[in-house]
Parts: sequence; C-alpha cells; structure tokens
Amino acid sequence: MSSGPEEGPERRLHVASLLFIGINRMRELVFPLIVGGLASGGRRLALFAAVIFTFSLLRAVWSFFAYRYRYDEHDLVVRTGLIFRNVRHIPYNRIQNIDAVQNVAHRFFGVARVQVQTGSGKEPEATMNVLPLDALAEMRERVLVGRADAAAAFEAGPTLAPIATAATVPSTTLLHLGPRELLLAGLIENRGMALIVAALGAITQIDFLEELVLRRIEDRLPDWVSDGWRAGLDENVGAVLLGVGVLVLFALLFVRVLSTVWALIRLHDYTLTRQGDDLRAEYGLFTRVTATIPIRRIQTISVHQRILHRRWSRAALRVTTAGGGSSNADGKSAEREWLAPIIHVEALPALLEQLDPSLVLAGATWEPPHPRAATRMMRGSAVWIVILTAGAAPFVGWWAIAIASVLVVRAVLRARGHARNLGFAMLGDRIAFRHGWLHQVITVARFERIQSSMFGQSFFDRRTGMASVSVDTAGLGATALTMPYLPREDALTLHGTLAGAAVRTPFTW
Amino acid sequence: MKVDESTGDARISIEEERTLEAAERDIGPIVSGDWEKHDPRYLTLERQAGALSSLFMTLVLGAIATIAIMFSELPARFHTPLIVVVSVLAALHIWWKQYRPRRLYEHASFRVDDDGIEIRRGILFRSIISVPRSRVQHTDVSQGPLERRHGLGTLLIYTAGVSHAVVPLPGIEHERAIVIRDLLLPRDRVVRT
Repeated sequence: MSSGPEEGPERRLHVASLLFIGINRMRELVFPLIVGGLASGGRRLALFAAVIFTFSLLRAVWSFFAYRYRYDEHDLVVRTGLIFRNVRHIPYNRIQNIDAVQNVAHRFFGVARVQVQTGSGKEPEATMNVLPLDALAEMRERVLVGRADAAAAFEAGPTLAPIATAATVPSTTLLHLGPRELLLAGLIENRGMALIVAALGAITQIDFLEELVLRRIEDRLPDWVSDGWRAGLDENVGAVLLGVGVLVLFALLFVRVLSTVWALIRLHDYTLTRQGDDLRAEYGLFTRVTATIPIRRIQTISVHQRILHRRWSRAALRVTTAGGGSSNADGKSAEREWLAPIIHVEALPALLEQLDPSLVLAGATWEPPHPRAATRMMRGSAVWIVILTAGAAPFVGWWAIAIASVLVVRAVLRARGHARNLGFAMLGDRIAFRHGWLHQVITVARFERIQSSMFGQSFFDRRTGMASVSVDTAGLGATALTMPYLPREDALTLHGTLAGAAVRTPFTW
Repeated sequence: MKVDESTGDARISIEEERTLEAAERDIGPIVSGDWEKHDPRYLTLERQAGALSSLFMTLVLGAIATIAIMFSELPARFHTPLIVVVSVLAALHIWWKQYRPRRLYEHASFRVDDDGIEIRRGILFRSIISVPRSRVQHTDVSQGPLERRHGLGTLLIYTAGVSHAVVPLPGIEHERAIVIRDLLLPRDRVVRT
C-alpha cells in the first residue's frame, strides 16, 4: 500500500466484535443447521452444530482481523478482506448519517453497532460491528469537523437553485380533485387490469368460484358465440375469433369501470398543498394517505399524456425524489403515486412553476431522432410479427394472415407515431426527453441532478449509424431519461453537452 | 489561486493542488486528459479467470455426462450424441472465455481529467459513461488474489444515481487505481487567510 503523509493510525473493531459477528454468522447458518439436523434424523445434530459453530467462529475471527478503518484528512477509510481486499474511501462531506444501535448485549460491553451512510444506494456504506462508544463519539466529531470544512467550501461555491425559502408561507392549495376529475382519471389511467389480475388470482384459488364465473360468462353470451366456442377451432374459426373479440371488448369495458371505481376510492378528495418548501398530497376514502415531498429533493419531473388525456386536454404529473438517504415511508409512497393524477393542461404551467419556477415547457424546440428511426422500430416489430404469426398459424390457419396484417398496421402506426414524438430539448439549465406513441411522456431533469451521462451504441445502432444518450439521476423509478435512435454525431455532441453541464453545476440533493 | 471576495478565503483549484501533489510525489502527470488503454496484464488476467471458469464448467458438464451414462437408464444410443453435445459446449465455453478478453480489451479505455472520468467499454453494446468529479460519493479500490498476482486492481466509483450507482473500472495497475481514486474524491478545500 502506498502510505501518503496524511494517513492516520489504523483502528480495529472492539474485541467484542468477535462475539457479535460470530452471532450474526451463526444466525445465517441456523437454517442449514435445522435442515442438516432433519436430514440426518437428528442423530448428527451435535456434530453439525459443532462444525457450524467452529466455522462461524473462524469467519468472525477472519473478518475481525481483516476490518480496519482510519481517518484521513478528508475521508473515512475502511479496509476489508484479506484475500479479496477492498479499500473504501468515504469523504466526510458525503456522509449523511451515522446510525448507532445499542441493544442490551451491546450495552453490557459498552459498544454499539455503527452504520455510516452516504447518498449512494440503499445499503449503508460501512457497518462497524461493533465499536466502543468513545470511538463512535470520535467518529461523529471527525465527520462533523470534516463536514464543516466542506460546508465552508460549499458556501463559497455557486448558490443553489432559486427556491422560495420564506418559512412563514401559509399553506396554499395547488390542486384539488373532485369526483368528476377522479372519474376521468380512473377512466384514463386504467388500473383495473391490476385489480383483475389480483381478483383472478383469488378466484382460481377456489374451483367452485371459477366454475361459477366461467359458466355465468358462457350463459350470458349470445348463442352463436358460445356455439362457435364449443364447435372448436377447426370448424368455425371466424365465429370463435368474433366471440373472443366480443369477450375482450366486454372485459376491457369492465376493467375501465373497475378502474374508475378504484380511482374514486383511492384518490378520494385528492388535495395537493404547498407549505413553505414542501408539497403535501392527501387522498383516500378508506385509507387516508398523506405524502410530503420536499421541493428541493425533486430529481425529475415527468408529464404523462395518454390518448384520452389529449382528447380531454388533461395530463398527469409525476416527480421522483432522491431516495438514498431518507427512509421516510411517506416519501416512498409518494414516489409511486402521481403528484397530480389528473390536471387540465391549462393549469399545468402554474403547477410546474411551483416545482421549478423557471421551467417552461411550451415552445420548447425538440430535436428529432435519426430520419430512419421509424424504419428501425418497424424492423424490430417485424421480427415479433413473424414469430407471432408463425406461432399462431398451426392453430388458426389462414386467419394468421388477418392477425399479421392487423399487427403490421399497428407496428407501422406505432413506429411512425413514436418516431414523431421522440426528442430531446434543452430548457435553460435542464434537459428534457420525450417519448411514447399513445402514452406520451416528457421528463425533465435539471443539470445539477445529473449523476452520470452515458453514450451507448448497440450492435444495430452501429449498423445504422445511430446511438443513444441517457442520463442517470438519484430519482428512484425515474422514467426513461434516454434519447435513443440519434444520429451518432448528434449523440456524441449531446453526451458531451450533458456531461459538461453536470461538471459545471454543483452537486445538490 | 482565487480569492473569494465575500469571505476573503483563498481557494486552491484542483489543478494547482494536483500539480503540487505530483511535484511532491514525483509520479509524473496524473491527469493526461487522453484516452488510456487498460493495463495489458488485464488481458492475461481475464484469460486466466476465464480458464478457471472453463475448467469448472467442463468439470460440471463432465460430471453430468458421466452420471447420465454410467448411473442412469439412458439408452445407449444417446451416449455418443450426449458426449458430442457436452464436448461442443465445453469447447464453446473455452473459446468464448479466451476470445472475449481480447475484444473486451480492444474496446475498453478510459480518460481522466479535472472534470472527472470517462469510461469506454462493451463488445456488442458499446458505451461511454461520464462521471463528473463532483458526483462521486465514495470509491473502492479492490484487489482479488488473481489481480494481486498481476499487480492490478479495480476502481469502483459510487454515485448517488440509480441505474449507474456503481461504475467499475477494472484492469488497471493497482497504484494507478489509487492515484485516480485520490483524484476523483471530492476534496475542494478552503485555505483560510
């Protein structure tokens, strides 16, 4: 190892670690122990236990000796492993939490289990099992001092995004959804399918119910449909297909109705308010949910428009927030839910302004993809259509041609529509991507939210002179911050621009 | 050296600091800004690791074939085809594990500058990923037994991102990995005047 001038003395875990690590290891091995004991009919249980105990102890000793940490000038350094060695540098100014757990056994030895967390990932970056309490105090102090220096450096840097900071701002209602809007939301969103799947799962548990439901459906169908159904595929494929079509139509309608009812219950009295720098969403008839979203933690904003949204001049709005550091249950439920399940397009700019005061979506100049993007997409679909048709042909005969032509028309429309809507735009110091054919999505991220930028070329991209560019943010479940099917040169330029923009903006949460 | 007007603090830029450090340690220029190839030993390392996995794979395949032929009621007429299939699979595995490192090595390079790091990799899907220095959360330098034999190491760069939370840079000289690590860690410091 290279020993720089700034390296402090290395520290080890508390000796009691042997005990605690050993117990942890043994806990992992309890299940094999039981299985082994059962397999041997209990006769060799003692032997198994002895072997496992020895093994756990050896591993505990091993990890104890392999684990060292030290405080460098700027980083906490953790060394692990003897054969597979790892040296981890965690800068003090990146450390968000130092959590300590002390149970009765820990207290007896005067130690604690310490977890150090940064904003990366969900797992703690370092787990010290276990440290003496004075070492914990020292760590807290070191990190605090290290962070204070960093904070001073940070203040000298560029200022943060302009976000209203008045603490005494009263709560203002940004959005309230009445039954009419929720009805529309339910119709459009179509979550009924998830309910159906859940219901089917429950129904198939009980043969009796399955029988009942299926017979009901069969009884209610017009004669010619059920006749065709019974006649089998060989005799009357046309009638069967028609029957299936009618069934599917009924099912779709039913699903929409279900979805609407579900939306009315789930999103009942949906209210979005702003209080200072936080957004609060409250909704639900039976389960009342309150979700708080700090505006400064918003990573990406996306505007969704399905075909029915566009028809009725509506949109839906979703945001993602940084999930790494906080384990706030409310925050997590908010990530899965919409910020505005439905909103009139005329009210959208005002709401967007609350989230990002200088964001203006209207009038953006969208850069198009490669002229041959639609052809690429059609070629992709063609492969699937051939496979599907070939697979269906033995069962439906010449009707496969009808299926194929429907699929071809759909593929052409989809490819054209998607290619027309695909694009990216620079909106001040943010990047926006849009994609989708029937379900169109625009996603916006500020440059300072970009964690990394990637230029990618698949095998097919290289053959056609295309490439894709995508950026990564800390927003969990962010939809597609990707621009595929760009001309290669444009993609390189965009990648350079985005990487450069991320370099020039400071990191913020 | 820039002086912040509001606080009167002087800020040493990263470049200045690196130059100072380079002069102190006498390790030449750390930041070239040019595309760098991975260490050639990476190729050997990958082939050796591949040979180990091929050996394991061949043993498993051989065991399956042996059990099928000697201890099961598989009709004798399937024995030859089984041996052929198993041999072909083993041969393919060996070929792929020896061929892939060459392609991997050809298309892999990286570039370090004051802004951060850019890593190129991939055979079928080729990518260039850029991680700005300011987005690095923490880093690992790891070294397995094979890597140690060759004096190589793997640098793991962690960001707060989701899909690229960890960006690995394998197959570089261990000392080089440490130098890049030191360069990437966020260390803007304030010198009080």
